[in-house]
Amino acid sequence: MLEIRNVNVVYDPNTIFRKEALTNVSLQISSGESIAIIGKIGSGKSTLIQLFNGLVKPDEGEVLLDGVDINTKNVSRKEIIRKVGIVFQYPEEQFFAETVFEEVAFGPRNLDFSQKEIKECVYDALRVMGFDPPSIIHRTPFSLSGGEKRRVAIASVIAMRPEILILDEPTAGMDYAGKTSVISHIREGRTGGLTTAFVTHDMEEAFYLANRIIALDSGFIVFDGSPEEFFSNRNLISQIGLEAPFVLRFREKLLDCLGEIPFSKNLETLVDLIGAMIGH
Amino acid sequence: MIEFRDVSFAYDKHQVVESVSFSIEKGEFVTLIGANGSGKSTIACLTNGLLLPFEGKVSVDGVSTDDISLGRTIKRKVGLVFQNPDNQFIGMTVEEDLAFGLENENIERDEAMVRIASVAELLGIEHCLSSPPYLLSGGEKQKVAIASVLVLMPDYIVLDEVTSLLDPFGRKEILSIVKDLAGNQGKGVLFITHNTEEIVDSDDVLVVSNGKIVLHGGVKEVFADVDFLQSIGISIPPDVYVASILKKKHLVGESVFFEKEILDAICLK
Repeated sequence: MLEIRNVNVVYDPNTIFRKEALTNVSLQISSGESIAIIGKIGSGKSTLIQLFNGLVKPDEGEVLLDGVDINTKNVSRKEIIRKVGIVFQYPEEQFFAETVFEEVAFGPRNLDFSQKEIKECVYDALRVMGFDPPSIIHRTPFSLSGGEKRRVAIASVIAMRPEILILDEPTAGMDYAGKTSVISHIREGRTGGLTTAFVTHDMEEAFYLANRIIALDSGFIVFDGSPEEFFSNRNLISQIGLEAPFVLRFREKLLDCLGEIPFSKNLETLVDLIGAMIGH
Repeated sequence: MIEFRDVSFAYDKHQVVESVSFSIEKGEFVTLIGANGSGKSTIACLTNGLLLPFEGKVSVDGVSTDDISLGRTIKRKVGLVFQNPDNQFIGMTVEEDLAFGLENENIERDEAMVRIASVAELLGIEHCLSSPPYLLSGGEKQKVAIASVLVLMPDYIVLDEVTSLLDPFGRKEILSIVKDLAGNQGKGVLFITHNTEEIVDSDDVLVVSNGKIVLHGGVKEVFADVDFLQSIGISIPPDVYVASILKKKHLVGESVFFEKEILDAICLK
């Protein structure tokens, strides 16, 4: 389990550009959760996820992984990086290897896994991301489509067998097809027991993919709970500059003229319900 | 007018733009949509001679972009703004950043300061002028990137996926500025995106797939064939998607596309 306790992070503390990036942040991430971290640009989302594996150190407070403070001297950095894997924005821009196998094997190899383990990790990770390993491992990652590249980049972190997978805007800049494939495979990975936390600006993605929402505003956690509870709090959503998914906004607007409409997360189901109500 | 006439372009032997023809007038807001890798960014680079066509012709106000002697004039007329503003900053402060292009054009300092103040006011970034660009929010950074092109007073501006890294609020802000550039400032705007929710107020829409323009028309003409758009990897705005299902069930009329139209059609039944 990962736990953040009363953390403050301040950038450029003794300059006129001083910025309090996170203030008094506390949270716990338990096994099997899928957490969407949302908020406007500059609200502290990226700082928060970089705390998770020690890339950013708190000015005050603690980051505990399985009860151990990861920022103490005797903790192995390699072990932390292996346990908490981070996929940054546009991860495919960091590709360097000649083949997909070598790209995905880079992490496990640096963690001193054996040859047998490396092969197993690479194959397993590619399978989680929806690939048939033998048909892709010899290809150059640069020849793949946008969606495939992003999935290979995510696989290269999964190959290190992290306990928690952190993704910073996993579908940013992707078209419909790429986005759909990345989302469906993250969802499948989650079904397989992978703990995930992802930053997103896409409220539909947060609504459909997460079972918990953490909302940040100006460095403070302003909400930590279920997607249903968050998206039913219209005041909070507009106060922090976000908007509810279309399916909820649309249903709400229809309530005035159609009366009570059963709640549905699914747009097709909502349309069927509307059709049944106005078709007669 | 920017005019593409039967333009083709290839990187090595890989053809990415094929027989593309369209035009953009001053004051017109044209949107170019397409999936990743469809050729959108290459078309952006062809508009002002950053890339030159292998076949066909691109001209700006009648001057061909392959006329090397007028290359600088063309680049002054057509400003490009790219996706990631962080890749475009060179100044220590926003003001220095905005002054960079003007200094390169040998614009007098007094004139430069007037232009910077005027563009900063237009985009609402006066308060950022003395800040280092890296300390700005994503939306502010993108506004600075647009401002650094506008101070050069181009007649046309090409914006390549400038909203893709922004939150919903930043997106709306940039989109409203872009519409204003065409509607009130008289610039010819080519707005490139793969987010179809952003094309709703366009004068003209170009849909590109595998380097070819496969659809060209008004917003509703383009949204008339939802299945086709999805088949070429383009997402459909949720309201247009809902309207398409309701139309298939004959529950709303064929002219219904957007949220307000759907609500009107349903609530008047």
